[in-house]
Amino acid sequence: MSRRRPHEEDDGYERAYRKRRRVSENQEIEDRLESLILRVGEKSTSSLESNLEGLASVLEADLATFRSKILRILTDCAIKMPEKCTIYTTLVGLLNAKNYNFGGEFVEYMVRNLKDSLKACKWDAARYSLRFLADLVNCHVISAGSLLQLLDNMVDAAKEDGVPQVRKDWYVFAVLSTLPWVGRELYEKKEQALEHLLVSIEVFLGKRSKKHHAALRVWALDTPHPQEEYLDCLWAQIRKLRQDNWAEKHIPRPYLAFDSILCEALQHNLPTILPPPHHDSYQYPMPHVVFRMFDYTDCPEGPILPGAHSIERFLIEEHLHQIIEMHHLERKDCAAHLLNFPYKLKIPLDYSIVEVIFAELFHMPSPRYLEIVYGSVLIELCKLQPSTMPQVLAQATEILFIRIDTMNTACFDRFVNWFSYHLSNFQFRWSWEDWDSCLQLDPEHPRPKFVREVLLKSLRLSYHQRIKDMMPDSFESLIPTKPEPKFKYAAEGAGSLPGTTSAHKLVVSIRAKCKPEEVLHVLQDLPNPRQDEDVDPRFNPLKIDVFVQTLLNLGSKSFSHSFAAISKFHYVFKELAESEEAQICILRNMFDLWHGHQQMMCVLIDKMLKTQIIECSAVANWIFSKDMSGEFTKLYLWEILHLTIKKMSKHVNRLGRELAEALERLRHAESDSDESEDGDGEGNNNSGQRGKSGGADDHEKPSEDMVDRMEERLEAAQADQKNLFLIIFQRFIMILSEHLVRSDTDGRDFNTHWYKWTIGRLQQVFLVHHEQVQKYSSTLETLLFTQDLDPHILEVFHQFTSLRA
Amino acid sequence: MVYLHFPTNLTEEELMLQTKYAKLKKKKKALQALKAPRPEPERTPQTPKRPAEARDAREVARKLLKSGAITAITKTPKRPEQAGFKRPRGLERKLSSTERTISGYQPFSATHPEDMETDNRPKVKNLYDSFVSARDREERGLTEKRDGRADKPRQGNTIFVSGHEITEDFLKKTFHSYGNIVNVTVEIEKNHGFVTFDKMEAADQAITEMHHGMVSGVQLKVSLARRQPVIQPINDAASAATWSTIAASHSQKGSHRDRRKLIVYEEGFFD
Repeated sequence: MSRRRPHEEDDGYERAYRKRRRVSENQEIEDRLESLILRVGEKSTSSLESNLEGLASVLEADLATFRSKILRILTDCAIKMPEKCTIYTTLVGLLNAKNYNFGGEFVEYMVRNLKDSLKACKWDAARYSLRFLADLVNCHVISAGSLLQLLDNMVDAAKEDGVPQVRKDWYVFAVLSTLPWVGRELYEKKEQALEHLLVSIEVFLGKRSKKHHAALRVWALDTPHPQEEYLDCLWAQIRKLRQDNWAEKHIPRPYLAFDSILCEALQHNLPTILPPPHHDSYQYPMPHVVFRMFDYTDCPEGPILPGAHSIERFLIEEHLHQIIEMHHLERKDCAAHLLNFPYKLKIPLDYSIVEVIFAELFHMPSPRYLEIVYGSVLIELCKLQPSTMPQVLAQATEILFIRIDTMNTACFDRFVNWFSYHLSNFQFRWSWEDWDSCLQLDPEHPRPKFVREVLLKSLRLSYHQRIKDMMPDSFESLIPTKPEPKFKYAAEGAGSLPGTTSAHKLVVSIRAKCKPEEVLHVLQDLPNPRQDEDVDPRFNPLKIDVFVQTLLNLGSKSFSHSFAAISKFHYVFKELAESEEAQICILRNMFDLWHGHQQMMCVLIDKMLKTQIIECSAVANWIFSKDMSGEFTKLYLWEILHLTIKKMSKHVNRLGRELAEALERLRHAESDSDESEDGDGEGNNNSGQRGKSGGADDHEKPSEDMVDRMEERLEAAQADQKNLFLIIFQRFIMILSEHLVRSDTDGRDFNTHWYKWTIGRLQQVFLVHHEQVQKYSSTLETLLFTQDLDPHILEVFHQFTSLRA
Repeated sequence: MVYLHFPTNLTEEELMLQTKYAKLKKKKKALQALKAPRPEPERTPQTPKRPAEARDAREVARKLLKSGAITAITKTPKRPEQAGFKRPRGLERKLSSTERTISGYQPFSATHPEDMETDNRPKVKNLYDSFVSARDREERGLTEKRDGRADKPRQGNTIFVSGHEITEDFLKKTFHSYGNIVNVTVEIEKNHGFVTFDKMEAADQAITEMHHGMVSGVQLKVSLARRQPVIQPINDAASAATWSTIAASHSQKGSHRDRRKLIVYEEGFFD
């Protein structure tokens, strides 16, 4: 480091000042370098090539001092900004041409990165490292032969036996998705070996099971656009690329300009890299379906949307997905970056963006991010591009509505949620008249159902009169009723009801701010309508009826009033409803009062689960009960079921996490005490340190007893969870089997709307909660999904198990 | 008619006065300069705030020099600023009143404006700056988003209506006969509002027929709104135009008026 200045000697103050500053100045240079590297390739007043050349010179000069720093920044950039892959490979290529050793070190570093990512199951990072290494072949940093060896090894991983298919899938996907970058080079230099690699992949794909495919499809039909399995689609795109002699037009390749410099450079050989063997704890990415809703005929004149099997489509989509991943927390940035897509003039960008966003929203088993992320980004896109984006979205909505007949039930829900949210941001304006043909259809048909559910959801985002005003008169049959409580004890003819007198007394007492005990007193005289001797005498349906309906009606003004009512009289609930039967009775009475207000029912059940007035299993049994059969295909009922399952899952997860933490603390405490026993001489020192760093742990050190109790609690919760899933799946099997058998004996087509909704809901439970259900997969297989089951039902289970197979 | 005649030449007396005035002016200036507070207090706080980039940029330039990327620098004659630029910080603070301080704010100009023009070397020194400016522009929003609007003739589907105490209902009632109204916004206190039709023809017709018109005792002025989002239908989705208009109007909430009664909560009895 010779950054001495000529005047240094003549100013003592400066020297002292600089001494103090030296460390931070180094830091400053590092930051400066980092920022230069990070920003290369961004919009600039000079050409990318000249920027790269300049940056290479700057870095070369600094290699001596900041070697490791530069290595680290470059590898970070390669993985965190995969869209700039070719820019950084060019930079590395230029550096390698200037400094062969550095090139070698970089390759070593990158290889280590790839290996680490593979071991840590960071699949995307691994794929980006692989792609980077492959692109280094184009920059004459790595020899084509050694890369092919690496790709061969990866494809070999797909030939292993006794490992999950998702593992094999990933390795093949990683290789295939690298080929757009390096295919041409390999084709020119090692045609034979490349062909051999592709044949191996083809063989693998031919033998691959695709049971999961049906469960992941957004639409059951393949017209007009096939719903392809992701590997099949990529394979078709790669085959097309091969047909075109590996020429692709999308990837910018700055290294081409430096061909004369780069081809002089010496190449490195990759070391042998073997994929780490499979371990049961490894989680591989799940398969998915490539969502397509547009083709070039949907877009107006102008740049043409690349075909479904052109590699450009894959590259564009991957890039757009990456932008969403990068900015999903900031909707405005996300929208701006999407619209600033580098190749925007070559494609109908609005269409690509809308398709990619819907692809994420409809992704099965669940969207990557909260559904609202996509809705809000779409709104921002409309604001930034008001002349076209809203129109593309309107067109997309029409397309989705037309194809809704065969849409997956889970996606149907998401479509309802998105559309009502979007409408609420667009003054609830829509040309409903154009959809009036749906009024002639069976109300259970997906189209009228969609309109009805959208209106119900819009009701939550607005209010009844407004929904009524905005709809054409012809849609009256689909407009939801006014969300009001129906209090039977105040209705006409209530006098004949057995509980009316008590109900009126109860109203007076509660208004007079009575104590929970007094409520029990008022209810005391109500007779028990159940006469059998062997029934639980503590369960009196009439008491529950009068209490629940009266209390909830008094709290009907708002959610907060209802919550206050529930928490004040929590004691009464617990007294009246100990058994599951009694809890179902509470739910029935809540429904009786509030059946016109779906959102109220959802929040009340959520509240009662939270306050442990009712148990999850009671909710599940209530949903499948005869009383609710009229509501069975309505969206809100399934919203309730999913929130119930989620509540349970959260509970189990929390207990599991707490136990793990306690065990960790226990282990820590033990190893700490071991240490102090071992090192007698350093005893003082040790305890002193411990006092500082682990003080909190010390007195929180859990006893064996506590841990045992936590284990018991976790086990109990897991048993409850398992029980909940057993109830749900058993009920599904019962009603579906019954339907199938009855259709068979009556000689009717079993495939009714009801059947489609119900089997769709079963699929949804499996997919939405797949992580939890997975744990009980074998129990489910032995107890419920046995071979004698109707194949239609069994099929859903098999689709689910093949997701992680 | 009296012509006032001004001779072009000045008289002797005038010339004398003129020189005297000039002299006084000079003296006054000198006096002011003497009296004026020294500029230090203004500048000193700036010195420590000097952007770090300048130093860093210098380092980068130095690296470049070392690496041989810039040989031109030795050929350029040393300019006085350069010495000043490299003056140590401490000294600089002491001498802060001089004009040199300016050089501190021009990170790249001090060393290499010349070789930029003289040889076609990569403009590495500008690397950072060019990113910054380009990125700033980008982050401020999409620069290209509204191009192509300026060169179109003035037409559109939004009209501007002004009239005494006009309301939303009034506008809807008055203009609904011209076409489907997509959006209405009213600024009551300014006595004007905007009406957006789904078709331009409707707007045109409304302007020709209603400008200077009198409706229920209100004198109206109707013209094309100045801001006209250009919406060309790109597909035949029925609601496309409506959504576009709403998105362009920057008021997604629109003109909806909630007519519900305010709910009053009685005293809670669950406390």
